[in-house]
Amino acid sequence: MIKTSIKKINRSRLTPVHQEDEADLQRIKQELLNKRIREARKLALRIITMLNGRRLIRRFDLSQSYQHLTLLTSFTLLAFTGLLQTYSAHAPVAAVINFLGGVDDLRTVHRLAAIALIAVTIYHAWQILETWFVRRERGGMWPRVKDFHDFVHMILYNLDRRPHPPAFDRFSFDEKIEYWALIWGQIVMIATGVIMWFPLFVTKILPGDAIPIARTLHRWEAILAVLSILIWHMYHTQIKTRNTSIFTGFMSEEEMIHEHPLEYRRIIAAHEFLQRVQADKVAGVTPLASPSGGDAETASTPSLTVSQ
Amino acid sequence: MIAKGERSSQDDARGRAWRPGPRQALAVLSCILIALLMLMAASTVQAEADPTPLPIPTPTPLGEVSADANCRMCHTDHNFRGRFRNGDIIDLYVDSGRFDNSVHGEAGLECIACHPQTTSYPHEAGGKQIDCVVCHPEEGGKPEKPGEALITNLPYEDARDMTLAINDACRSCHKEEFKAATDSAHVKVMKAGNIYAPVCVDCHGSHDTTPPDQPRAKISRSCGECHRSVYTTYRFSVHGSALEEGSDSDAPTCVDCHGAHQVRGPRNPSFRDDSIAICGGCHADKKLMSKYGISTDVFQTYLSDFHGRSVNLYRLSGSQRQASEATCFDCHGIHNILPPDDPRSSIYPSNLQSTCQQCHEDANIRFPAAWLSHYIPTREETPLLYFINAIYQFLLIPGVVGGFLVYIGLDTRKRWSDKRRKKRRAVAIAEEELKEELGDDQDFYQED
Repeated sequence: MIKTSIKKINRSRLTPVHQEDEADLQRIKQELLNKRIREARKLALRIITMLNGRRLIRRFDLSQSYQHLTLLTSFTLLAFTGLLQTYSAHAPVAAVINFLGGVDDLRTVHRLAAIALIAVTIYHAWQILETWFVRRERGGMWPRVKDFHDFVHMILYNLDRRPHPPAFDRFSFDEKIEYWALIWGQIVMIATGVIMWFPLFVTKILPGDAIPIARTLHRWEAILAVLSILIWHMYHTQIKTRNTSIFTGFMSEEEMIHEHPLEYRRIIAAHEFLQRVQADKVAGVTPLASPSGGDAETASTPSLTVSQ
Repeated sequence: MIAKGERSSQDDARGRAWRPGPRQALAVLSCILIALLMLMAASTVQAEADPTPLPIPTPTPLGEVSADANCRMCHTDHNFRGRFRNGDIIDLYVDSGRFDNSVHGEAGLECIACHPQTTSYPHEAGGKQIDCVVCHPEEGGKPEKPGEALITNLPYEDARDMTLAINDACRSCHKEEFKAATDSAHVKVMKAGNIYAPVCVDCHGSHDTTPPDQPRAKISRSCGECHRSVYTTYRFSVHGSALEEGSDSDAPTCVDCHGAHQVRGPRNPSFRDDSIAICGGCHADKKLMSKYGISTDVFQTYLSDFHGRSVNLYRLSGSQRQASEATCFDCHGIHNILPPDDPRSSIYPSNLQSTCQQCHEDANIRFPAAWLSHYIPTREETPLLYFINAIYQFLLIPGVVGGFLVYIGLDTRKRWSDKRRKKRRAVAIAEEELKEELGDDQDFYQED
């Protein structure tokens, strides 16, 4: 109690009582507006207009595409070379292994792919930390209460208890399930894989039991991961809809409206907001001083030049 | 036993050089007569010491008469010796009693079955036909001194030369064994120039051949004749002592692991990889192991672990690459395998670290625990592993995969039903429009 009161006194002494006059208010407003414009630009920059007038929405940048490609390649190689080893007791599997050049080569490929996977995981972790601590943003993958509601909503919709499916923002709950399952899988697989790779070093720190435990976990988690990818990921990206945005980086407007309507609405709103700001500047009016134009009017203007 | 056809074919071959005529037939008859007379004389002559000069036998083809009687005439004489070209003397005495009790004797084989190069009696020695008088001076030869050996010249360089020459005769009956042995380590050593590499008779004996596995311990003992130190080690191993001391007839002898006629050298590239199948041949056999209360999990647990999986893949690859991963004998020992509760055993708990260090030089005291000692994880011994297995097997994988499938099932049903409903609605609308356009002209379409 006493401490807080002292703090209060000190603060009041150090910072002079602020007189909020008209000029300050204007300045603060301008700052807030600038911040909004910056945010809007970020979103609106994701709209790309093709020469034929069709608009595409940028969904992933190049780095994300390449991360996925690396993950895809390394995961497939790891799963293939790993599962062959797991089931090598069966004669046909052993024949395949020996046809491919023997278990030593298989292990080399497995370890090279593991290095690629670890590298892309570290890169991704670094990116997340950068987003979080430097840009002070939470990535779209962060779980929210809305995701749980969406999940329940989706189940009810599938049971014909809701007229419409839930509207998703940047990432839907099924994408988040996929992502976090993958994160869990990466942690387990990399940790247990490294333990098996360097058993002598590991037994200097951990008891010997760590190695059979790692073996068991690595094996089961691999089976779980492969099944998850084959069932969950393939269903949502290839069977339900054919979603190629991770490879091309883009989604068409129709796809966006269908799959990520909330995000699409934000992007379009940001775009319209910027247009109004631009129009105000051209007119020489203080930004946003003029009464806002009708939404329908701005939305119908397709004349947005490529802003990349 | 020699087949009749074979013997007659040999006779045919000889027939080219020697064609029997009436004179020869007479000689044969006389020969039989002589043999009978000599047998009779043997009992009488000695007693009376009144040697009646006997006709000198002319060389007689052996195929025509019961040869053994002729052979035994000389070869049962303790004083009958042979001289090799290098001057060595060999006893030509054959213990006919032991021969009669051998497998070949019991089968009724005659001497020439194994000595086919002996074509006549008395047979050629040193390349030229010899006369009876050479050995039997009382029939007109050199005077015989009592106790002096009767020495005949032999057409062989030395004893080994003779053994090798005669050994080839085994092939005429034991074709399969000969064929199996062509790739054996022993034959390779022989081909490399070591004439002392074992041939058939070195292991099986010559005139006293008995079944090699009665008792089974005899097998290892015959190998031990040459491989002394290995045999001594083996003799006191878990397998050797079970065989020698117990009535344990299943315990492996040398040939159970190394092969008998096709014996492979342990330095043969595939021997190392194949060794796991040798051990597994018995130790994965539930019926056999249950007799001795030995778990057959040992083989399966080995195969499902890093070492076993690698070695097994190498074995199946058929390549000549040797697995560097541990095989059974790398940890358990080879000829010196001891039961795991023997403190001298390489897998006795306190010896495990040094056993691991044979390959994993830096292995510390915790390292051996990285291997579950052939145990399948149980709730009591390794609870953590047991629960990981249980959780993934019965909870996580069925739960996650099942959940995914249920969700996808619901989702798919909804999508399909939506699609159907959409289509139905479109059909209904089209139908409606068509009805309007056609008016009354489509009365035929449906019955009232």
